[in-house]
Amino acid sequence: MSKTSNNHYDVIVIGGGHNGLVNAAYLGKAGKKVLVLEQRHTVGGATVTEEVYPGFKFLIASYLISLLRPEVIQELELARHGLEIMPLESTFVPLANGNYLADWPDHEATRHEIERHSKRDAEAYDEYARVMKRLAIALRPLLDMIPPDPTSVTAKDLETMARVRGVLNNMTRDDFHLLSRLMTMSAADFLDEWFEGTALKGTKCTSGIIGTFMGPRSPGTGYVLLHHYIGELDGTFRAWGFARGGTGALSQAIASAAREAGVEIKTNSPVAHVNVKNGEATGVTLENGDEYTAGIVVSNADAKRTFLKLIEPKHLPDDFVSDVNRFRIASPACKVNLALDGLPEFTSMPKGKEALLRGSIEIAPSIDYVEQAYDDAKYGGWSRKPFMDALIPSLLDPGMAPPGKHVMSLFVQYASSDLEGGWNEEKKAQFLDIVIDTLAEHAPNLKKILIHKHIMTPWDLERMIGLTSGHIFHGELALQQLFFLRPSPQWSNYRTPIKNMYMCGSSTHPGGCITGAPGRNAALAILEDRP
Amino acid sequence: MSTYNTIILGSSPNALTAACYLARGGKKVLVLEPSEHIGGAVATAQFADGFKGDIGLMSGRLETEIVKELKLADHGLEVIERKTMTSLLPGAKSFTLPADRDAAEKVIAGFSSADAKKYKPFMQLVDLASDFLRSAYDVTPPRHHPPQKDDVDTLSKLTSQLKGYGRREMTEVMRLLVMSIRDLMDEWFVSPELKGLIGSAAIRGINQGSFAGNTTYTLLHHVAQGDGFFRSTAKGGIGGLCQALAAAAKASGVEIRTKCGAMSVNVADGVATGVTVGSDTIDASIVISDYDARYTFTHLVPPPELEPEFNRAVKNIRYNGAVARLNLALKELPKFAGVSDDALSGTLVLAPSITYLEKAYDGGKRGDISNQPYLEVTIPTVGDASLAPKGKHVMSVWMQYAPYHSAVKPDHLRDLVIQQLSEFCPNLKSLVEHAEVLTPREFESQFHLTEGSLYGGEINLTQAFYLRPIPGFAQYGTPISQLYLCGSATHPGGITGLSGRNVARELGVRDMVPA
Amino acid sequence: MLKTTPLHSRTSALMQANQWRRWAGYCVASSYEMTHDREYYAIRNACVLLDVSPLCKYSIKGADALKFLNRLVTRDVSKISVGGMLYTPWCDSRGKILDDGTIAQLGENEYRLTSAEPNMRWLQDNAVGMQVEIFDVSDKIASMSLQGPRSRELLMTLCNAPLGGVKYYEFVNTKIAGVDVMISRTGYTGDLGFELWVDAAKAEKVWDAVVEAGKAFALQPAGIWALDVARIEAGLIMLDIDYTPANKAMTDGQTSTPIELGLNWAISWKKGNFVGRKALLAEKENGSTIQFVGLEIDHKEFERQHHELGLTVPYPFMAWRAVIPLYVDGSQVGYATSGVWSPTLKKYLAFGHVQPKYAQPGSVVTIDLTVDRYRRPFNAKVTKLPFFNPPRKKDILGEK
Repeated sequence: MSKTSNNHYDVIVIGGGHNGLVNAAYLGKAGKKVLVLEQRHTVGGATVTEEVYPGFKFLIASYLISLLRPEVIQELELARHGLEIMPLESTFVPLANGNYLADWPDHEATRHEIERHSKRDAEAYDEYARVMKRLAIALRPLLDMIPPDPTSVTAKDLETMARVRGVLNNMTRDDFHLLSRLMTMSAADFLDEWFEGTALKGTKCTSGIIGTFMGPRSPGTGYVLLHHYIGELDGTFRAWGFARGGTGALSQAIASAAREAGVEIKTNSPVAHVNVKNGEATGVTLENGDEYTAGIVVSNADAKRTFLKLIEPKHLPDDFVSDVNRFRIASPACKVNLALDGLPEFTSMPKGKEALLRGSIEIAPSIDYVEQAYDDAKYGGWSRKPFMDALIPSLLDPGMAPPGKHVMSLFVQYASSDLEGGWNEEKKAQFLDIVIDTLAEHAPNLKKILIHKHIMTPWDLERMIGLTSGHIFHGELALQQLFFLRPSPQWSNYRTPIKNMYMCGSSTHPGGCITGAPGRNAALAILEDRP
Repeated sequence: MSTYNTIILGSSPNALTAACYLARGGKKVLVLEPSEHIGGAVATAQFADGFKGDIGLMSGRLETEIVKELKLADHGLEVIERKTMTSLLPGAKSFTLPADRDAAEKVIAGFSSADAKKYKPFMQLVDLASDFLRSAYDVTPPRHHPPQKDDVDTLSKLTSQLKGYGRREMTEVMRLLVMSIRDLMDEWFVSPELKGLIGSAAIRGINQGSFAGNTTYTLLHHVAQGDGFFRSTAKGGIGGLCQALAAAAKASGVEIRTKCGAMSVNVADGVATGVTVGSDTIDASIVISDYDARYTFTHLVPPPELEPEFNRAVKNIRYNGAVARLNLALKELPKFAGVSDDALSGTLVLAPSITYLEKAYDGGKRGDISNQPYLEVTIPTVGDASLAPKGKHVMSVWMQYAPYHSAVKPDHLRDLVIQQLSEFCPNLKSLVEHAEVLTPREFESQFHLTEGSLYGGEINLTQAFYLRPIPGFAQYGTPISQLYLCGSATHPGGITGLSGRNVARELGVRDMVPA
Repeated sequence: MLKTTPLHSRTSALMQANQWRRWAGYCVASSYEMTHDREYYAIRNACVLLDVSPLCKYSIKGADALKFLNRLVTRDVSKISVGGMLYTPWCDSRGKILDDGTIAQLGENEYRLTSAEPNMRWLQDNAVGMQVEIFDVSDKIASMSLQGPRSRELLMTLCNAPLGGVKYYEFVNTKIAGVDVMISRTGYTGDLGFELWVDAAKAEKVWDAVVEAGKAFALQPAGIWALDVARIEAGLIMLDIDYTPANKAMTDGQTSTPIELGLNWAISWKKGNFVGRKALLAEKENGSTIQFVGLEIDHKEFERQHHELGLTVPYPFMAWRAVIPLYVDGSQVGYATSGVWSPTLKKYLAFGHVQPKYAQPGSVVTIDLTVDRYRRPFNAKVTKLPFFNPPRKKDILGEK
């Protein structure tokens, strides 16, 4: 295809994941002519809802919305574009001894529930929740910041560094000390300082390991705990929510906002490589050979895919290539979806409390359980008894399944992306059986009502969606790859060593989850350079 | 009865260092040690007829400046360097890494040319990072938040050192501090055996595995203290450090009493007024505890003297002693298959891979002892014949993980260690005349080391710098006015004497070198 | 999922208006009748019975019980003996108030502490290194409050205890309807009154006996709305309303100290160290930044302005709980936290927190009140607390 003006854009965004769409929408609103190129038949990337079996809509990857920046919802008017978020009503943790632990948005209800297990914990819980909130409030400004380069002496970086110091200096000494400790300690140690109840610590520690290939006893998980807590700040309490129509509906809403801003979105358009000339990105070539030119190329793909696959290394400095190579991206997370002919009956769910099925159901009865799940997987294996975070979306949105039927979404850890001997269909089936067996221990009728089962292992997430190692956060949320180190020192400000080339995916600050923050921050960085 | 300006409870190298500098500053100092050995657990004692073994740590180096300032060579300090590390590998194989970097590169080239090329650049990065830590260790951590003038001075000095490294190096050093040793080793090297050997220093003394975040900090800490890869001890064993310091202290007028009996700090209205030792009350204007914070604030000072929030913080300190120590009295010098006699004067390490270390910890984290433990072995008698009867030898073993909360049976532990080493030294069992086994429980009951932690609190990033030993009390003072801490529990931790010198500086001793 | 008190079967049977509220996770009556005025008037003119079971209660025993309590709270607990009680706040080590409640000495080395919020964790953390056992007996002991000028006569028909001689903040053990009851001369109304402490399982029996005997004394069951009016008249602060406990505050600015709250009298400087002493001593020496005061709002002017507009006066019969700015010359000098029309004093009363230079009785600040949809400033005069303090609160029968 010859180069025509029809194929020229101000900006090309590679990948129509939620961050790519957010980025495109902001740039479109700023008057840029933007093209989004998505390899699959639908936009959303890992933020999709798919009818894998007729009538059953599966959340094949991401499933909950928690950390979506309110600015993104406001500025892109996502409510007008169809986004409806229903808050999750509760958490239910079945325990092996037939007991359970639950929590609800109502503070006193939760307090009484914790009191059932430990009075001391019920008191500590109040204070714990407040402390986490205080730290989250203090840190939140950093999320919306384009990270500074602490080694740089440009006026801009110095000013941003001063803002970072300001954020820290605003904290009281006690809170600053606590933050320093939490950032460096394990979720388990931190929770041990507060609580005595096994079940409470079990469910709480999971916030420290979601999407992370670490066990709750590993230092660094304290930070992840806090990272997820920031999501709970919006709204009155617990803003973890389910988007009506599934997370795919969120992508559609952002896409709609983007299109309204004049953004062109092409699906079924996998990019083969970024075209680079004299150290400048000039456009992209699709796998079918089509070429598009642009003044700016933005990649929503993760850092490894972007810089090791879409760009030839010769265009990049050695240090940068080695930074991308060492970027840790091994993933432990799988996604399982079940089509059900009825509702699972949990033996530990008391009569009259069936409404708990409408919330999240966590198989995380203790820190030891979760740690063992990690230990089973960490040498290239999978958990014999995995940790799971389950949800029955059809109870919140009946449109997710045919009448009388249900879908169940399970986020499952750990199954190594680097499975010994590699993943194949047989191993997928084996692990899927483990997941179902584990869940059936708590809900014995599960196998009777099971119509269809579907698993996305890290292998599938990579093959289908293009996430390197299937990492849902585009790279581990380890301290050495956060903030000004994400994905690489000196290149944490959404810019890259290639001129006119930017990153807007979760490999950049502030990292994974459906936040929209990398997409938005990247748009701000681009508009700084090209107003 | 004479009166003292300062009483120090405990006699570790930090306590004795503080005593020396304070005496030089004109203070009248009394050091009280309840055990029979000066040094407490940092001592070398007879464990079988004619055999002497280190009790706790089996290597350690005093800060070079302190050695000079206190003229410790004049007081009998003779440093013995362990110039090699030998990695014991499955199948009775091994390789010996010399301290000399050129020579080491050649050894590594024998099994991995890629790793050989990276060895020196890696060590240079470690040098930068540990030099930075060393500077941070020489100062009292910042006091205020947000930082005030004195803190800003401290911090900007450290920042400019970092900046001086160059932009790339600066961020590399910052990354190192928070990395797991597994991640670091994967970034640099390919051969499992080199990764295991180098990486083992990152889990030395802590109850964490090699996959755990921030473990690189622990490695850098050991390196910054001169106790990283190639280590040293003193003539007469590790206790030689304390003997020399004690001689220097006495020469400056410090009084030292061992076997002094039970001790406690006298507190009146929030102020330390002296100590009770045995049935005696001794007044002093300053009391310094060399013990860890938990022991100090549960045994030496009654908790009701302290605020509940402080007691909570004391409870939250991680100790997690996970090291067992063995001293074996041997009939003759053991032979390790494939290990040269020269290498026996160095350190032998059983840490064949990063995964091996993590697996050793898998039991440790659940309170079980490791069946495939991480071991460090020295034969101090190779370099110092005075420690055993003529022709006989002492083998000193460091074993992880033997967590405090486990039910460790000393006999089982001894058999386990001997069995592990027998793969490399088949006749070891028949050479053993006597074995001393010290577990975290013994360290706690005999030397008041909380949970048997040999460092007065785990060496990890959460308990470093302004967070050590307790956030808000990192400047050696305590909530009890006139009561200070000087031990390994305080910043920076370890037995270099830096804590002791930092305390003396806080107490107003300005001139470290007398005129 | 709210908890119910051991007296719920009785209180719910009496409830006419379906006006319930939450108190510490329990469901209790706001007002039994459609309005709370009869309940209030009974507090001052006859007697009322309140279910106050949601109070937290802790049993504290052991050789170091006194030492423990004296370290925990600001008052000197050694000043009471068996049969005695005292009111006291307690603080964290920054001297910031955590809670307030009463301590009763039940026996040698045996006390009972009441509090508004659960405190077990704090109590345990204060007990490190002491010989003391702490039990949460909140659910085991029901408490009802019998308040009002005729409460004593009523009780004397039910038991043989020498209630005539029981002084303010003393208690006796006796039996009512065959059930062991501890009767203390305490309450939250500033009036003559008693609190009855009884085994939760037998509480209904005691309640029934009191209600039955109460028929002859115009006894009225009362809820929190009536109590709220009385406690403001009596100058008594309420947790979460007039102060935020330090462990609930999100910022330091939200915390209070006992000195700021006018509880200097409840701090013993001579008893030795207690949690927060150092900080409070410094505040005592350097002065506080804010001071708790009573306020009398110029209701005459409030009336006048309504009448001028041809409106009836909307009396604030129901106590309000809100943070309302207080001004002097247009700049804010503090804030009010509670207020109510006192039917007894015929005054509009409020609690304020003002800068110390405006805290002297007689100082005048202004508060904005709504008159026909517009906010207007009204004078509020600083007044000594309590606003209402009848001699009967502390009197002894037979004494003049």
